[in-house]
Amino acid sequence: MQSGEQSIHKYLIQRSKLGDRDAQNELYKLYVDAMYNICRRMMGDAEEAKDILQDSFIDAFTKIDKLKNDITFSAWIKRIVVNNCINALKKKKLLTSSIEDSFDVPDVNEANDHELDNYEIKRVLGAIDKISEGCKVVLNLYLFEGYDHKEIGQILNISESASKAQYSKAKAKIRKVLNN
Amino acid sequence: MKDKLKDFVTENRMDFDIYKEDYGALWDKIESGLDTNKKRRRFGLSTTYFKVAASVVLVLCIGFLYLKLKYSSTGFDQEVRLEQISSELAEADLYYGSLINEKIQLIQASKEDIDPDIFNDLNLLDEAYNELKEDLKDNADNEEVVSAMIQNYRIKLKLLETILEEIKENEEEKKNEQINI
Repeated sequence: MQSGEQSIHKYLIQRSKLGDRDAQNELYKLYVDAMYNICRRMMGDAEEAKDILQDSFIDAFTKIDKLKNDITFSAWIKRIVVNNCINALKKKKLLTSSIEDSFDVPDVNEANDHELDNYEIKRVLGAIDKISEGCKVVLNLYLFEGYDHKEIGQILNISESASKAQYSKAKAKIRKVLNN
Repeated sequence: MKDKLKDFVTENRMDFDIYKEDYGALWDKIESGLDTNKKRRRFGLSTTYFKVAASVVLVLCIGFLYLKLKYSSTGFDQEVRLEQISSELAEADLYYGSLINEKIQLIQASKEDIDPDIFNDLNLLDEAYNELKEDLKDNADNEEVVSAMIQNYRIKLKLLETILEEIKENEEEKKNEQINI
């Protein structure tokens, strides 16, 4: 099953590289939901998320001949989406200022987490929409996209410890929003 | 250190993808985006690229015309060469001329409706300027003529600046209207 799926996948990518619109549409259908959710969580706005999603797939299919065999399409499209989100936020000038924020990290006391034993998905996502862009990006990349702090540091061009600090800060803010 | 939020997300990762959109409609846009990309690559020219090229050509043309005007003069030429009369005047001519051209281009670029009377006025000023230039032929060292020419340029410039300001105000007003809506 696994290998069957992989070979279909391979076939779709090969066809897409040749410009086969149907194959591109199949790949799109496989990944659009996950990619849209990344955009939406990162941007906090449906319209902006749609614009970035659209640009990202156009980027991906335009440059698909550059996709090497050792990288999966999912990792590749995800990276394009993440980069486009970050660039859009930078353009809005929201990201730089908040990442350069002073590192007055609130003391994260995990012991206090007991109040949040019952996280609710919708409430957590609602809280993420409310926190500032800089730490939201780090939080999203760490929590949902599976990047570690070292990788996030590379993506955002900040240090690993700055990423950790932003994450703690974001978590403290989430906790505060959830407790209100 | 235990991270309950991270654990919670990891355990329920798929359930966090709650946002939905009309992915079919989005695909249509992506498809047309891919089509235009293809066309663009075929012609090898994007519109911005084309605009830059057009401005370069324009600048080259202006430069060429200027040089032609400057060096084509012979002693028998009937037309007046300003720099033969006064290098200062030639410099002023070039300076004001380029300022005025720039402003005219700005005005033409903004698609505002311009009162045609203003262009008539500008044409009148042009005619007056050419007459002054003729006068210079006979009165090469006539300071009055020279200062009148410069005055002519200043009036033209002032007029153009007023137009540009009006255009700017109009645009601001439009913007404000949009915000108010």
